Amino acid sequence: MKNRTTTRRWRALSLLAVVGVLALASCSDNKSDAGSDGSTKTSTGSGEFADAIRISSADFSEQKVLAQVYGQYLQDQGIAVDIQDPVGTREQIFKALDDDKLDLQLDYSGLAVGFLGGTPTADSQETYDALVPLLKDKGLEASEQSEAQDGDALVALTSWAEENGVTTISDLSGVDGTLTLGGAAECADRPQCLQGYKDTYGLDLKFKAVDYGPPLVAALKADEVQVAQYQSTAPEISTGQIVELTDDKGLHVAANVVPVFRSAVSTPELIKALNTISAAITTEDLAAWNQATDVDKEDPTDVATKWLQDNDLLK
Amino acid sequence: MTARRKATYAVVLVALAAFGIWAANRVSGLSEDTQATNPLFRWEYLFTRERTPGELWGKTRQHLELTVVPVLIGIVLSSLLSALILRFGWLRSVVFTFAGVLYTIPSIALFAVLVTYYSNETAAITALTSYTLLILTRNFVAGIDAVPRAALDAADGLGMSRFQRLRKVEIPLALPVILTGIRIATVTVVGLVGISAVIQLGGLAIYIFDGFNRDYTTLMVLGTVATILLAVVLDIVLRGIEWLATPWARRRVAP
Amino acid sequence: MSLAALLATTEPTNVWQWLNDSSERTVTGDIPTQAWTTLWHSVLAFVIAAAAAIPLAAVLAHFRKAEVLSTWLVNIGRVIPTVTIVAVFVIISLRNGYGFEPWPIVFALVLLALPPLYSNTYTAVRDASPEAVGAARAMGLTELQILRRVELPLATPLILAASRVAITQVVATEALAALFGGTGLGQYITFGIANRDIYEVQAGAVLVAGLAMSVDLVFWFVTRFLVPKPLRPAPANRRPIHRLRPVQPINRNTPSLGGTP
Repeated sequence: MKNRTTTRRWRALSLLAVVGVLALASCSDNKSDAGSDGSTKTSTGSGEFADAIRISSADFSEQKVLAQVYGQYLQDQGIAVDIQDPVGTREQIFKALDDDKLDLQLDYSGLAVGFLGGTPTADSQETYDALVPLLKDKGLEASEQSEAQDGDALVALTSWAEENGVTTISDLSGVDGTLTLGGAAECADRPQCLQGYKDTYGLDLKFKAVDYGPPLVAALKADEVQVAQYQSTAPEISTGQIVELTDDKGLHVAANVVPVFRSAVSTPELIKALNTISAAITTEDLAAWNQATDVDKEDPTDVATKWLQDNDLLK
Repeated sequence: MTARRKATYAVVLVALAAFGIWAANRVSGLSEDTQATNPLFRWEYLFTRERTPGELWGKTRQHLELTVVPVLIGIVLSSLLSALILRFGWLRSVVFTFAGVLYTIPSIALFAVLVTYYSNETAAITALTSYTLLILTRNFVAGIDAVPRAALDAADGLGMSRFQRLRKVEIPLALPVILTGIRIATVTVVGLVGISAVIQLGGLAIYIFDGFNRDYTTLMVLGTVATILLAVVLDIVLRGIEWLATPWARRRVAP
Repeated sequence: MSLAALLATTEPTNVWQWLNDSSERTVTGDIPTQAWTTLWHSVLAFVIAAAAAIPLAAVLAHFRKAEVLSTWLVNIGRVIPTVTIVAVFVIISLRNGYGFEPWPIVFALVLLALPPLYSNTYTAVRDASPEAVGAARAMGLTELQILRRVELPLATPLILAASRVAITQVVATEALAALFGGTGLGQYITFGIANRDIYEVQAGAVLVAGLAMSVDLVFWFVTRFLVPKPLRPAPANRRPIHRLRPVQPINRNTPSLGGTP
């Protein structure tokens, strides 16, 4: 028969054990977490992140691969980096850069210019020249941009486009019924997106927020949306499922990949390394990466490593 | 339970599971060739991919942290609130209404609003703690209220002071209900942690959001099963504590 | 030139201004439409759950069958996070051509509402005054008549209370639909997060909480009218108060003979 002391001991022990286990489990260092897509947080040195350049990205596959490509190369060159989980939208990324929570991100020239309040054009050089002073105002710098571009693309299902005889964006005004545009929620406020189609093309589109990536294509297939604001390097374009509608009135702007970073972390070695990668990336590479991550479900980390190895960029 | 009944339950469960898997494959609308490239679940992701155990454990740890810390803080706060309610009866409706209102604020909104004032983790923990308040306070107060009047009178008759009575009679007798409340709060929070993915946390639910964004059902299945497993494990652990802590109440306490 | 310069000077500076300025909602849709969407998703889910759970629970409780199932159902319901269900079902729904709404969210909400409705109905019917049931049986009523005329009316207060809690939670959780391409009031919240418009997020929160509390209030009225006075639960202030000081021991000088002092 258990007496009171034994019972008390049992109770105390069991409570202590469980609390202890849970406390140990939860109070450990969270920094060694890895993202579910395999984007590892790399670092050099004895686990300190104080001097490491924090790289992050937006929340879609191409951005994750870009962050990995630049990050792994920088690390290979001996520069301490900390590749972090994706932050979110451009609005959130720039806020993080402002708040000194982030050091480096890979942006797209024209889209960044538009976000910062400038006037981007379809010309890459003009857009880059417009970008630099805008960044300087915010204490940021940009290294050389890449020739690789991934701009906005208004896409539709190939079958739908053929049925309705649509090849350019202007053709959309000839289609019967209300068309719904699908895109990320940020698209609602951005000038090259919903508003732009209204102002430049006179299209009165309804809007539906869908996660940027394969869900957009799923929405197209389900006819939830008829056209979608997607990326020009989308893998579904190369497989022929969706087709990009020609931007005959020049709404879409140049969107070269360009590293944007805080002036505080700017060093000649960093810029040299960034330029090396920027010079090596092409638009076909971006499309191939998207094919690998979105269709073949490979990890961004692996895709990045493989590309770096294939291009003899790793030591 | 007789052996025959156990056998019946087992057969029914297996049949349901088999039907479920068949139905899932049917219902997921996959054609034959996409089954090859985009199957519902890629077993190699779980078993052969090197990084998976590390990532899985990392996310589980984050999920646990976001569960345990709010519940612990909630217990402390709810104990205070319950003590106040027991002393000042009129506080009862005030506190419950307030906690109830907190409960109706959708978690996404609470996370997003708090994150503009605090860091991600602080915002998540604050929001999750507020959701535990209603459940815990309600159960704490109900537990103490349910203590039989006879026991209280006996304690008073023995000359116990107010606090002695609380410590030796009321709390032990209320323990089953209190521990049930803690268990319910914990399991509820495990489900709500996932929504903190909108502020870049999210624990195991990151798998679900990632899988949705990449059309990668393997991740979604993994996230779902892992979250449910975590909740079940915590539920069982807490039931165990309940059983150990209340040897005089070893009967099935209705949840 | 900063982003602020781009924005017009008539931007709202707090949530009430945002709510008043209907131009803020040209893309996300006006409040009545979204509120109606949220409401009918929730009501539909609740009705389906109630229609499935309440009759089944009542019958099973009356015949005292499947008691273990009740507790298990509640546990399983609590353990599965709603976010997960919505995500999975949106994918299934898209692949089968049913679109983003309404079936995924309605289904997820049904699963959310089922356990509390089922278990509370079960407990209420099972614990309905045994004396009344015994009397009814003695009077010769059939089992189904007992259920219909005695147990269910006695169980009504509890069932209504559970329904009230269930539907309030359903309305508050419906906001999750917006996370996976749905509409409804949750859309203000997700758009606000994406566009970093804090007032939109706050407005979404206020609207959802407001709708949930309105539904709660409506059900409170319904309960008050449908439940006859004798069956209403005792008000809280009738409970014995917890005294600060212990009660004085009874008359220490009298030997305890057990008789009246």
